[in-house]
Amino acid sequence: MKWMLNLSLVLSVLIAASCNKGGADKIVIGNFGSLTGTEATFGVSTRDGIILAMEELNKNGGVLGKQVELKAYDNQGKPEEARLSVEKLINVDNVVAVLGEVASTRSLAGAPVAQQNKVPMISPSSTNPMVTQKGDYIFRVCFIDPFQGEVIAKFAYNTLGLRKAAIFRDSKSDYSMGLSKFFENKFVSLGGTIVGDEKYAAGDSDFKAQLTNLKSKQPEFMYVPGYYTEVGLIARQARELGVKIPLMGGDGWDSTVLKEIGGEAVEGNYFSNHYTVEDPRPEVQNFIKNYKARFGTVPDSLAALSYDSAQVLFDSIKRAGSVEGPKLRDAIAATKNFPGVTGVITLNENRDAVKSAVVLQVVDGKFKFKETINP
Amino acid sequence: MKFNKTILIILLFVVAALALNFVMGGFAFDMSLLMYAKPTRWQGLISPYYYAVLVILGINIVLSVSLALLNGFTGLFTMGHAGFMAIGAYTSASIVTFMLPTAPFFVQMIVGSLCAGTIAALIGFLIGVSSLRLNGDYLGMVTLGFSEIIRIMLLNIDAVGGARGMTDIPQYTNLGSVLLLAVIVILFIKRIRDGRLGRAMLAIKENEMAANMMGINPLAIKVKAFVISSFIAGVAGSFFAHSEGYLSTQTFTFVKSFEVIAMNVIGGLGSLSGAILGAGILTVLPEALRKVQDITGIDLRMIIYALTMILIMILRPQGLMGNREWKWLSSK
Amino acid sequence: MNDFIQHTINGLALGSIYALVALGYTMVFGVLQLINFAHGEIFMIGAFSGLYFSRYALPAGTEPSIGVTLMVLLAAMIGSAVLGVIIEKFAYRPLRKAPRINILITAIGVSLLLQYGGQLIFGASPQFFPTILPRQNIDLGGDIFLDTNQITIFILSFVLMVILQYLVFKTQFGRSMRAISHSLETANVIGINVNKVIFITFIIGSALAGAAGVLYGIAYPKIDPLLGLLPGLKAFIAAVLGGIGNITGAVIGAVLLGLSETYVAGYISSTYRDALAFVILILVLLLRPGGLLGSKKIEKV
Repeated sequence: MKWMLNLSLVLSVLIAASCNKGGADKIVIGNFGSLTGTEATFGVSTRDGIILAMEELNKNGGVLGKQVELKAYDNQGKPEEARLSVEKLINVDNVVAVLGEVASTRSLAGAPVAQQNKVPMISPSSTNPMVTQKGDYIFRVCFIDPFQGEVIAKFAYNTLGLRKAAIFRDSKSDYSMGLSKFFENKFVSLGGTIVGDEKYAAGDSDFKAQLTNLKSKQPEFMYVPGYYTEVGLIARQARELGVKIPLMGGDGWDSTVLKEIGGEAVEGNYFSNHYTVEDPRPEVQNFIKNYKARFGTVPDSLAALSYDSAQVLFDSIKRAGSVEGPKLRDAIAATKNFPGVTGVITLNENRDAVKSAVVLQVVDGKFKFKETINP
Repeated sequence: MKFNKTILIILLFVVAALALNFVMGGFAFDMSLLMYAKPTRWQGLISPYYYAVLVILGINIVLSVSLALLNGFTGLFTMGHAGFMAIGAYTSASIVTFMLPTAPFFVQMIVGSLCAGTIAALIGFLIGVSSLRLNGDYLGMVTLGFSEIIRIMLLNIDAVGGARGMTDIPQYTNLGSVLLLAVIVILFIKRIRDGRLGRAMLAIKENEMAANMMGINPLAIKVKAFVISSFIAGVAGSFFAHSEGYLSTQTFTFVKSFEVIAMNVIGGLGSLSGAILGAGILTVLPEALRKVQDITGIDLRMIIYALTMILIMILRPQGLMGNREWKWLSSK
Repeated sequence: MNDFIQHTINGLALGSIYALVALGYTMVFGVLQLINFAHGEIFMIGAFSGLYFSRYALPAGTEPSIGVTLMVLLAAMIGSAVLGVIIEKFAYRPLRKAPRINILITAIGVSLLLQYGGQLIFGASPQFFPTILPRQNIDLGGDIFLDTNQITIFILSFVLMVILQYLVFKTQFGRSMRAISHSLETANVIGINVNKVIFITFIIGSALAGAAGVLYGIAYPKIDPLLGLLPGLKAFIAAVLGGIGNITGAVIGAVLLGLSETYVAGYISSTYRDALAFVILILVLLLRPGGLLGSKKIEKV
């Protein structure tokens, strides 16, 4: 029995020794996301965006004379694991700030922990307004649902002159439900009507029943604010059912996977996004080039947002000259006109990013810029 | 056979090493605290992270032990424990948030957890009465179905947050109350097991027909087991809700039910000690495996987790404890 | 009325996909009385085998055709069958005499292992399944549309059903299978090589899942490592609805499930669409545990 204990001790010391390398000469930042499970593709993109930002920074000498190290924990898409991993990042790994999560649900689970411990948390892509209301240490670099929902409402009503909309939303996704709600409010207040409203659940692959129903209501366009994982199939099946009206969506569409899966079916459709790849700004062009070189894929909007969240954090550390929670918090809150990939980022008094949105159209397999809509 | 045992022992070593490392990591960090004092991050002597893990451990023990009453002692295979937990969690969170927001915390706790348990038991009773004529895998699938229906219904109720989840739930659960709950539940289940009801359950598990002839009403006993088990799962849900402070239906999927079953099976079906041991292993293992991720760079946690389960099933199908009990839990 | 016809077409198409998965499910269950939770994942591996085969083994620029489809189908069936056999040999065979719950836990463990292993190997991001079958959208007039893929899949699931039916009821192998399904011990005593029959059953069941994976990829050209989860569960429910272990029942159950899901989403509410399958499962098991075509006997453990 004794040798058993010894062996365990030796093993555990070895394991412990191999991972407590991060010392005082490094600045540790944390990321929590769903690296496995149904939403893993979003979590992985987000983590990769952060890694890219961090590696670029470290190559240029780091920040405050120190290299930055990332601890990324998986939460399998479960809120209780999200909370636990934030506890671990803050209290065991001593991170100076937390970047995450994609889904508002898991940001809402993790945010109170960051707030209690006075460690700043920047969510790259949680769009529910409640997330940053969790406390003055919680920030985000994306726009919130009310704004993005209104973008398409304005675009469809004012620019395209459409009056009858149908909504097809993902009942499992807070993002999709939120966008739909604010789209509906704005579109109706502008004078349009919502003729049909159906739901699907992320993970489904057959949408024809709902699409047949929506089609029979004869809308002039369909608002489908989901993620590219489902929208490609939805567009395909809509065309197979002879739906010829345009589909419109939000930044969840931004991925090459959408074009691959949707093929010709996504041609001519519109979605709102943070930026356009046609933007000649060097931030945008370098990011796309470097991301491709590092990970071999074209970045989606989640990668761009997480890249920006890391950049905002590094910039704030530089300006604060410190990694202490309260000082860092003040520096992040003072972020103004930061030239990010996803636009010029200014954080308002609610700690939300104020950015303009662009509307893109899918033309010949490319996302073509149509219009900029300001808040 | 010898080969199998060796593999098992090696496996146990790795698990023990990881667990020990996990625990020692906590203490090591505690000591470093003396040097870099960060008082706001600490509650007493233990890091909030380990504190949170211990709270979850306590809740998992309660869940696992309550399921043992069904799966282990009565031989009913159910796969819907997450559903009862969800009902308890949402009931308690709603009652406390909407009806008792200003009451003192012990009133909230008592009313919240009792209501959670009662509602869960009521639903458990209805499900039990309607489905207990079924046996084996079929019962498992029906309870899985009920649990999924409960989850989808909760997802579509806007009052409890819908897809966004329910936020700002008063967080009054602490380690002390969870441990107390765990001890009470363990002793309660032990008492049932050693009493008349427990003997009747065992008889039904061994041979339902024979039990029937001995004058036991199998249906009544099964329903009793179902009601007690779902009551406890509901209470566990209530404690969970008030320790997280946030609820989303993403927590209560089929995977959660399966985790609780795995706790029972790994520890040993039919052993109360096994249920506790299994809960311990399956709570600590995934957290301890985060270290593996640091070394390999890729996330192997779930893969190791699944492999462990398969290996234990193949190498030691009776579970780690088999039918044995620790001394303080044995019937004599 | 036109909507009703369109819903019916959609429902039949959905049902025939479920049927393809349900056939393999019901076959393994028929012999081993084992709910093979990993069946959905074997189906997923089939889809990925097809994807990688058409991506790397076929010359670039291969035009979609029936021949290509058959080749991809064959590749996927081999891939899945190999996996099925490995699972049977290493995970299920050692447990043949163990309690049912242990086998079920192992099956769920294998299923998790394949899901997460798949995410590691194939990546978590969904991938596009190449167009290998020429397809055409037929306008039936009155705003009703029918896809040639839907017809292909519908016909294929019936053909497979007939072949299986023949295999089980008209061949020597089928007789052995049914004997084992009746009683494993007795089959052993009368000299049936139980391991061999179960082995072959797994090959057939898994190959069917592989074929279903490719056809699924053709119908819904988006595949990811978790794609087996929902079709697996739905197929199981379809098999129970028809009477588990019953081959014709599996197809009928699957078509009924597909139709009722479509009608409910179309005429009642799409919110509870995913709950419907479970409601059906519960109702069937409570009211008629043997399924529509099964015996009324309640299964004994």
